[in-house]
Amino acid sequence: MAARALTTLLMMPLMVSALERLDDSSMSDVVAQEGVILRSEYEIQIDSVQYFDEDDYGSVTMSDINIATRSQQVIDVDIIAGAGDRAGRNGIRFSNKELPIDLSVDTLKINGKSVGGFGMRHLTTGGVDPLVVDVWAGGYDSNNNNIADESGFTLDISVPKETSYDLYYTDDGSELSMTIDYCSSYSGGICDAGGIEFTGMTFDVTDKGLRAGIPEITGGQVNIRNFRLNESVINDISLKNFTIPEGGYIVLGAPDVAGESAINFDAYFAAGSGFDFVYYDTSDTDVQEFNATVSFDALASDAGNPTTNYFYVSDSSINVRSGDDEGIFIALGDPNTGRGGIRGSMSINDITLKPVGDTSAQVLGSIKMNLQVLPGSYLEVMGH
Amino acid sequence: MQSIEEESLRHVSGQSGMDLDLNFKGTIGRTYFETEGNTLNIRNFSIDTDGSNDDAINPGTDRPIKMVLDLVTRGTKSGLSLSITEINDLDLRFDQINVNGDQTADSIVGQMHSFGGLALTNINDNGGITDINVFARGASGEEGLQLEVNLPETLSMRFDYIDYGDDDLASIDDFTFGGDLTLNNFSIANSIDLTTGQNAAGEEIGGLHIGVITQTGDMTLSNVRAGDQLGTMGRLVVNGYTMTPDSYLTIQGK
Repeated sequence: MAARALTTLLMMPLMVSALERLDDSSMSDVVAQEGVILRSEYEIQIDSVQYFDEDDYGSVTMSDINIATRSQQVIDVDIIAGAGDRAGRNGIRFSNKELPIDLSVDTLKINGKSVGGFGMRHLTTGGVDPLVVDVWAGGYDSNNNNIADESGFTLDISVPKETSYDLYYTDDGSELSMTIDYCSSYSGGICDAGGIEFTGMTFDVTDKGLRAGIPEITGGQVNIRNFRLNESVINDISLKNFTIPEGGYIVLGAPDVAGESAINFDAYFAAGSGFDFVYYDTSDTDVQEFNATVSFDALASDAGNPTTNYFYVSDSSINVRSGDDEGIFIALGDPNTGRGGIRGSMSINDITLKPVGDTSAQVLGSIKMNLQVLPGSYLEVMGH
Repeated sequence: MQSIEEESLRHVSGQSGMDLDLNFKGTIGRTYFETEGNTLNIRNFSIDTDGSNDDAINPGTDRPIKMVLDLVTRGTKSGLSLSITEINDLDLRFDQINVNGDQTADSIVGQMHSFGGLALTNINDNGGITDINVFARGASGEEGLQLEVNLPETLSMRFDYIDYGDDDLASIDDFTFGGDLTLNNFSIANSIDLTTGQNAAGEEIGGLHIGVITQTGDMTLSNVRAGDQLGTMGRLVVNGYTMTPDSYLTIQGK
C-alpha cells in the first residue's frame, strides 16, 4: 500500500481520473471533463503578513491571520474543453460543492498603528448548485486576432443564488457587519432565482506590469443585508442588473526607475458600465425604497478614441510612507509629469422613491457628473 | 548526468549508507497525463544542478549536490533518510504548462492552451542541510508513508512566472512576474495513505489521504517585479505560517 501511495503521490500534479458526464444545465460552454474530487479540512494560522515599501520604508501589517474550514470542503476538479464562447479553449474547472471557509485578520496596522480587524464568516454556497471557477489557459487577446494565442489565464466564475457570507470590520470593540447574498427572489422563504456570473477575467504579465481584465457581468444581483454597526441597523442595499461590458482592465506595476519602490496602477472601466442601486428599509411596516441607475462612461471628448473610451484612472500610484503622520499614500495621477488622474462621466439616472412592491413611481430626476481629477490629488490612509 | 562517484561507493558496506554527488543538467521535453484524449502537459521541464557553472564553459569546475542516503529506524517506523547539502545554484524550470495544447514531441509549438511557464532559479541552501525522510508507518492503524521535509534555515531562490506573447520565435513579447524568494525554517511532515469509507450521506470519501503532522515556516518575496519596469513593487513577508495538525487533503477519483 505504501508503494502505491508513493506512486500516486508522484502523479499528483498531473492527476486526473475517470471520465464523467457533465451536468448539461450548468456547463453549456464545456464539452468534456475528466477529474478528481478534493476533500479537505484545514486550519492555517499566520502570525503576520507584512508589505514593505522599499524606498519610503513604510509598512502594512496584517497580524494573527486565521483561515479555516468549519467542515469538510469538497471541490471537483476537471479538465475542460470549451464550446460556445469558449470554443477552442481548454482549462481546468473547480466546482466547489461545499465551501465552508472562515477568514479572520485580528489586526491591520499601518506603520505599527492599528486600523482595526476584519474578516469573513459563515461562507456557504448553499449545497444546491456549486460555485464554479473555470481557469482557461490563455489570457487577453493582446494582438487582437480573436485567438487566445498568448499564455496567461482567464477566469469565469459562476456564483450560485444560495451563496452568502458575512463580512465584518472591528475597531476598538465596535463591529460594522453585513451579510452578502446573491438571491433576487424568494418563494416560500426559499431562494428561487439570483446568482451572478463573472466572465472573461484575464490575468497576464505585460511590459507595464500585471494586467487583470475586469470581468464582464450581465444581470446578477448582490444584496447587502443585516448592515449594522453593533446593534444599530443601517438599511439594506441591493445592486442588481449589472451591465459591465468586456474590455475593462487594471494594470499594477512598478516604477520604471531603478531603486524606486511603489505599486503603480491604471484602471480602465469600459464605457457603459453600470447597475441598479436600491436602498431600502426593512425594519418597519412602511417600507420605502430608493432606486437609481448608476452608470459610468467616458467623457464626450474621450469617447471617440478606442484607447480612451473608458471611465479611467491612470498614472496613479500607491506608496506606504514612513513616519508618525504618514500611511498608505494613494496618488491620483503623476504630479511630476502632470499626466493622469481620473477622467470620466458618472450618471445617476431615474431616481425614484417609492413603497416596496410598487412597480412604478414618479421620477425625481437624474444627475450627471463629468469628472476630471487632476494629478496632485491624493488620499492618505493612516492608523491611529 | 554523472554516475555515482565510485570513490564514495567503494567505502559502502552493509547498511552504513551511501554518499552521492549529483551533477545533472537535462531537460524532459514533454511530460503529460492523458485520459480519453485530454492531456495536461508540462513542456521542457529542465533541471540544472549548477546553473551558472556550465560544464561546457568551465570543464572540471562542477559543484555537485552532495547527498547522504541511509536506512533509518525511529521507534516503530523505518525508512529512508536523505540528507542534501551544497545546493549552490540549482535551477528548476518548465517552459509551459498547457491543457490539450501539446500533441507533438517538438519544441513549443504555440501558446494556445498555455498557462505560461515557471522558473525557480539560483536555488541556494546557504550552507544549510535539507533533510528528507520517508518512513513506512508500521503501526496498526497507521499504515502508509510518513514524508518529512526539513528545509535549511535559509533557502533562497529566484521565482519567476513567464507569460508568453503570441510570437513563439521571439522573446520580445514575453514578460515575467516574480521576485527573490526566501524560505526560512520550513518544515513539513505529512502522512500519506490510501483510505476507504463513506460519510453519513453514503458518499465514498476514501482516496489518497494526505494528513498534516506539522507544516511551519516563514517566507519573504522581495524585489517583486512584473514586466520590464526597473523599480520594484515592494517586499512581502509572511511570518509564522502554520497549518495545524489533523488538517488533511483527500484526493478521490470519480
